Amino acid sequence: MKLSRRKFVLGLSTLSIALISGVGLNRKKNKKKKKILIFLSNYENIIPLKLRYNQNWSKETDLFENKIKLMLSSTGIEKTIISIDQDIKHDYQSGNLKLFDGWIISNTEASILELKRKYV
Amino acid sequence: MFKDLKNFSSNSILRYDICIVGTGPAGLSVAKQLLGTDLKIAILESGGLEPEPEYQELNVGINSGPSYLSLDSSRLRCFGGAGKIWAGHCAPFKKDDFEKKSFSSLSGWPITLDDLKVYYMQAAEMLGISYQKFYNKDLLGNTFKEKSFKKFNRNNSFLTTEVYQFSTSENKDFAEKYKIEFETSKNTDVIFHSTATELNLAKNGIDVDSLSISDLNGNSALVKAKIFVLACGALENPRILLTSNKYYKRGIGNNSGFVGSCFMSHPGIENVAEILKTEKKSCIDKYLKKKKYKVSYTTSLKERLESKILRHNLSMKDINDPNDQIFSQKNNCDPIPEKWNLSVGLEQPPRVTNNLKLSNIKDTLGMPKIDMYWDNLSKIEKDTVIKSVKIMARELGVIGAGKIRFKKELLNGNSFNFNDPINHHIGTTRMSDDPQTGVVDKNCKVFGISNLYITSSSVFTTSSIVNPTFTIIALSLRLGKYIKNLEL
Repeated sequence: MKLSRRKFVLGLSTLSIALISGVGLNRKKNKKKKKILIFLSNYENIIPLKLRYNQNWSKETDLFENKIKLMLSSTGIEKTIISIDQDIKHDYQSGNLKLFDGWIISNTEASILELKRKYV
Repeated sequence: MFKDLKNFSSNSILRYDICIVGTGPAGLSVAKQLLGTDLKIAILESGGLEPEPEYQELNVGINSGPSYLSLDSSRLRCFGGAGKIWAGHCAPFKKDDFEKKSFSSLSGWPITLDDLKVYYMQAAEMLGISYQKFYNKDLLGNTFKEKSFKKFNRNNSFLTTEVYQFSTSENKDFAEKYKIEFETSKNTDVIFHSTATELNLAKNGIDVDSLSISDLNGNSALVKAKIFVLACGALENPRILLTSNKYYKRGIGNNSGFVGSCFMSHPGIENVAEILKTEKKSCIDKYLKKKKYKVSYTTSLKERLESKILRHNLSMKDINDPNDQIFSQKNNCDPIPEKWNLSVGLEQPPRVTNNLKLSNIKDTLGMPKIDMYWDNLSKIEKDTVIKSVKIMARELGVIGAGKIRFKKELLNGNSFNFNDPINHHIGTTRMSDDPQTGVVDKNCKVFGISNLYITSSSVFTTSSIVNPTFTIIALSLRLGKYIKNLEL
C-alpha cells in the first residue's frame, strides 16, 4: 500500500504532538510528585522509627492526597505546610486521634504517614 | 507520762476520760489538741519506744485477692507508728476530691475542703511547711520558668501540676518532735506494750464500756473511758471493730457491712507508654525535685470531669535503650530522640470487692489475722490509665513537644498488673452522711455507738491521689478539737 505524501506528513505531525504533550504530562506529574515529596520530608518525625508504619490505604487518605495536591499547586509548599500544621494542632486539640502501631497520633498525621508509604 | 503495761498489776482497770488507740500521726494529732486540758488522756501503743520484731509480727496477715498488698512492711508498732517511716510528701486534697462524681457511685464526702482548711494550716505548721505555698501562683510560675514548663502553663492546657511540699525528718516524725511534751504531760499517759484486743460494749449495745489490752508477756488490763478513739490505720481499725463481735455478730459499727470494705490504695501502673521528645529543648521534664517541693503532672480538672476519669498522676523515667542506637545505625535513620517511660499512679474508687475480713488464723494475742482481698483494676481505673495517657499525648501534640506510644501489652489489656510500692491504706471505715453507706459520720463518730470515734485514712470516703498523711493529720486535729469541745 502506498502512503500518500500528505497522509505521511499528517501522521508524523500527529505523532510528534502526541510525544511532546506526553513528555509535558510526565514533567507535570514529576513536578507534582517532587512537591509532595518535599511536603512529606517536612514530617520526618511523626514517628521516628520509619519502618514501623503499615496501615491500609483509606478513603480518607484519598481525599487527603487530593487536598494536598490541590493546595500544593494553588498555594505552594510553604502555605500548605502551615495549613497542615494547623490541622494537626486542631486534631490534637479536638481529640481527633488514631492509634498507629501503638503511637497516639492525629488523624492528619496518620494520613501523612499513609501518603509516605505511597510516595517515599 | 510514759508508762508500760508490764508495770501495772495484772487485770488492772485503768480509768481515763479519753482513750486513744495508736501513737502514729493520727493518734498523736488528736492527743496534741488535748494536751494541757483538764481531761485525763490515755494513748495506747501496741509496741514500745522502738520497733520490736515480736510486736511487728502482729501486723502479718493473709492476701487472698489477685493483687498483693504488703500488710506488714509499712506499719510500725512503736511510738510514732508509721509517722517514723512516711515519705513526708504533703499536699492537701482539692475541693473536688470531696465532691460527688456521677461516675463513682460511693464518692462524695459529708465534709468539704472548707471544713478542713484551718486544720490543714495547723498540720502544715506542725510539719514545718507552708499551707499558703500550695496556692501560690508565683511559686508555680517560677517553677515553670526554671524548667521550661511554660508551655504546660498555657491557658486551657489539658494538663496541670500537683505541688507537693516535703516535711523534713525533724518535723515529720511527731513522736520525736513532741516526745518531751508527751513524756512530761500531766494529763496524758502514753502506755506502751498495750495492744487493743477488744472493745467491750455496755449492756445497752450503744456505749463502749471498756477496751481490753494485752502485751505479749501475758499482762492484760481493761481501759475504761468516756470517749474511745481508734487511730491505728486502715488495716488495724477495722480489725479491732470486726474482732469485737460479742454483742454484734458482725462487729461494732458494722450494721451497714462497710467495716473493712472499700479498701483503697494508690496503685502505680508502671511503664504504660513511651514518650519521645520531638523538640530539642522540650518543655516536658521529669518530676521537678527541689529541696522542699516537687511538681508532678496530672489531667486538668475540666478535662478529667469531661473524660469521667479518676484522679491520677503521670510520672516519667529516662529510658536508656542501647537497641535504639543499633536500630538507627542498621536502618540508616536519625538517632532516636530522647525517650521516657510513662507511668500512671491511680486514685482507686471505693469498691466493696476490695475488702478486709478476719481470717481463721490467729496471732500470738489470739486476735484473728487480717485477710485482705485486693481485686484487679476495675474498668474505670483502666479507663483512667488509657485516657490520661491519651490526654497527655494531646497536650504534647498541641504544643508540639513530643509523641506517646502505648506499650503493646497495655493495648492488649495485659499490662495492668501492679504491686504495692506505695503502701497507702485507705477507706475501710468510711465517712458518710448515711449510716447505710458508711461507718463514721462527719465528726468521725461511729454510727450507732455513742462514744466511739475513728481517725486515720480508714475514714476517707475517697482516696484522691495525693499522699494521705497530711489529710490524716488535718482530720485528726479536727477530731481532737471536736472532742475538746464536748461536755464530758
